[in-house]
Amino acid sequence: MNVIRRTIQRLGPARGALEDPTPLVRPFFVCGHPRSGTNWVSSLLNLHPQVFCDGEFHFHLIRNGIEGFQSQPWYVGSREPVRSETERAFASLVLGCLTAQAHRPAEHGGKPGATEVGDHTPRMLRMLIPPPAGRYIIIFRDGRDVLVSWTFHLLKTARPDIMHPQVRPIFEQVLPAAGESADAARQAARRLLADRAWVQHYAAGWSDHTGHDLATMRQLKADGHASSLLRLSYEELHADTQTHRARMYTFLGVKPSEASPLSRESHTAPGFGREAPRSFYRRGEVGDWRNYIDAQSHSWFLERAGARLSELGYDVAPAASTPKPLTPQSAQPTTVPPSREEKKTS
Amino acid sequence: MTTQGADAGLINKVKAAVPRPLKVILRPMVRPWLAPPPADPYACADRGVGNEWTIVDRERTYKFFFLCGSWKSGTHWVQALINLHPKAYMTGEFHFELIHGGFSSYLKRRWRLPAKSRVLQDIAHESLRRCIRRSMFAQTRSHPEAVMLGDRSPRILKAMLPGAPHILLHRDGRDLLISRSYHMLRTNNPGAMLPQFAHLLRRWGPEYKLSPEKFRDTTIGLLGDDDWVRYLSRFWAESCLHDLKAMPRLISRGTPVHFIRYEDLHADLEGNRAAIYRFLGLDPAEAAPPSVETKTLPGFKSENLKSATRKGQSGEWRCSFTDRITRIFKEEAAEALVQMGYEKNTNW
Repeated sequence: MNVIRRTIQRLGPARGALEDPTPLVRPFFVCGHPRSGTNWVSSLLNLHPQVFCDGEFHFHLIRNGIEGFQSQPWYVGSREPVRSETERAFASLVLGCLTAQAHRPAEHGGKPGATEVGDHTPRMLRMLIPPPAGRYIIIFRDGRDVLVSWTFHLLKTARPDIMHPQVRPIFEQVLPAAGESADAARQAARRLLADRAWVQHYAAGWSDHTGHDLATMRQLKADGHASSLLRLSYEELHADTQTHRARMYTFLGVKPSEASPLSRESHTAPGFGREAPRSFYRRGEVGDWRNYIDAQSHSWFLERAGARLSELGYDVAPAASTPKPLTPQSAQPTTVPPSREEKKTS
Repeated sequence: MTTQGADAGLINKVKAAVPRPLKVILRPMVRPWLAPPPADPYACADRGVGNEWTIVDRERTYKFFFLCGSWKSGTHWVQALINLHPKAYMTGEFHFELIHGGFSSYLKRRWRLPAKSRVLQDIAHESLRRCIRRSMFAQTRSHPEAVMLGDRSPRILKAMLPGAPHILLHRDGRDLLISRSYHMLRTNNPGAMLPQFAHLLRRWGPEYKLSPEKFRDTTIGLLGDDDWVRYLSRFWAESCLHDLKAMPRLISRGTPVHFIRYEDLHADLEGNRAAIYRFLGLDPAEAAPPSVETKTLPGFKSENLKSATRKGQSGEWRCSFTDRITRIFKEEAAEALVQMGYEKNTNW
């Protein structure tokens, strides 16, 4: 309670959703590289009646603006009292948005009783609300699985216009055929994953992102805030979901025993039991990259991100010369409802 | 007894022992005994009164306004002129456009939660406006008589508080090119430069400090670099064209804009500064006269290459433009120069 009161006093008065003088909520933030399981972590957290996690808020975009506002010594925002005012405004905004979203009526998707309210946004680890008031959950995943998952995700969202010029040409070549069927999507993904520029662009991006996160974690620990940070790995969560979700609840200060059980319907059980290349919940497996990345592509990946994989404790032994064939189970037609694009095609 | 006087550890133990439903019942009774939060001197700026740019503090009404325009177009000068009036005070540079940009990114992508929720959008807009009002009030309220509180930031025209008066200042891009090039050499801060030009400052900055006179030769220094000249010419042209479009749009939406050209201010200081005071709802007769001491007279006695107030003249570009600089400037900014009324055509 002291922490909450100190936070509230620091944030100062607010109005409307921002203005509750005693917002009985404690904020947290789930982050990690895109396609590392931030959604899954959010769903697991939402199984608890006192926890509400929603996204993607992308508060860091406002944070970028504030850092620009404070960046030059001749800017008024770099000096007091304006510096503190902008910090207070930002924290107030974050708490206000999280509270407003969580405390909507239950029939509108809210959870009015939630005391632990959070945002899940796939992004780099940055302090939005300073610890200990702000708590951070970060999830890491094998960069090769991230690459495969991200490739399918990009094919599904089909937005070459927002892609980096380095990878846009190959994507534009492959994209037209990718929407025809699940098999076509798999073939398109294989083509992209056999392209050196594609593999190395996203390998470097993953390596930079996780490198930044690891450095931030070290800094947080050095500053004495280790208790405000929970590190997860997708693979460990997959192997023992119960234990690791209990860690999350304990980290947030709620009782693990009060959480609902895992289920396929809530997308909280590990894996989806089938492959649906055009669904947001495509497969959810560990080591799926072996089905899509051959030895050549693997060596390209290792050139850019091998050191980071080792740093995170992943095996960097050479891959098979050809990807493993899909298992009969995983090659079976999907049982989930077809996506909007699939409906249009049919 | 307050929490400050009591044993905080004991209070925490009691709190931990009380079940949550009981806490909810007890809270209204206990809260008056808790230590009050520290007084908030800027609370009056949380809420606009009647509009987004007016606040009332202890029965006194304050209004906010903004001055924007290109870098080295005379924003400091106009600030000094406005500050001659006892009821106005402005300072800078705030650069609220940087925070504004962050909020715009936050709100625009459709897959992001805030883009889908009206409530979250309202919270964001309210939070931004409150942040601007509180920051400006915190920085400017110390002037006892001032009721018009302003921000001076060299930037493009954009309404930071809808409805608030905005003064827009522009200057001939050719003079601006010369002035800004000297300014960057004088301040010699590679961190303030775009990364692609930082090497120029590292190369020429120290030399300028030793012998600035040498840099009247425009084949060296920043003006000797074609890319720099092209970048700055284009930047000026784009800013002008943006502002020319934005001005009628803002006015039509209820945000008054007063446009001044540096050259006009130079030619008729009294007429133009009176117009500025009137635009801000102030009586020009109450303002102090311009003086050398307050750096409010047009131009400076002599050129000082080591000062932020270097020369303050218009048309100075004629002494510095070579054929090369003229060609590049025309390629990038000839149209803007005509649209801004500085030339009738490109035959200059």
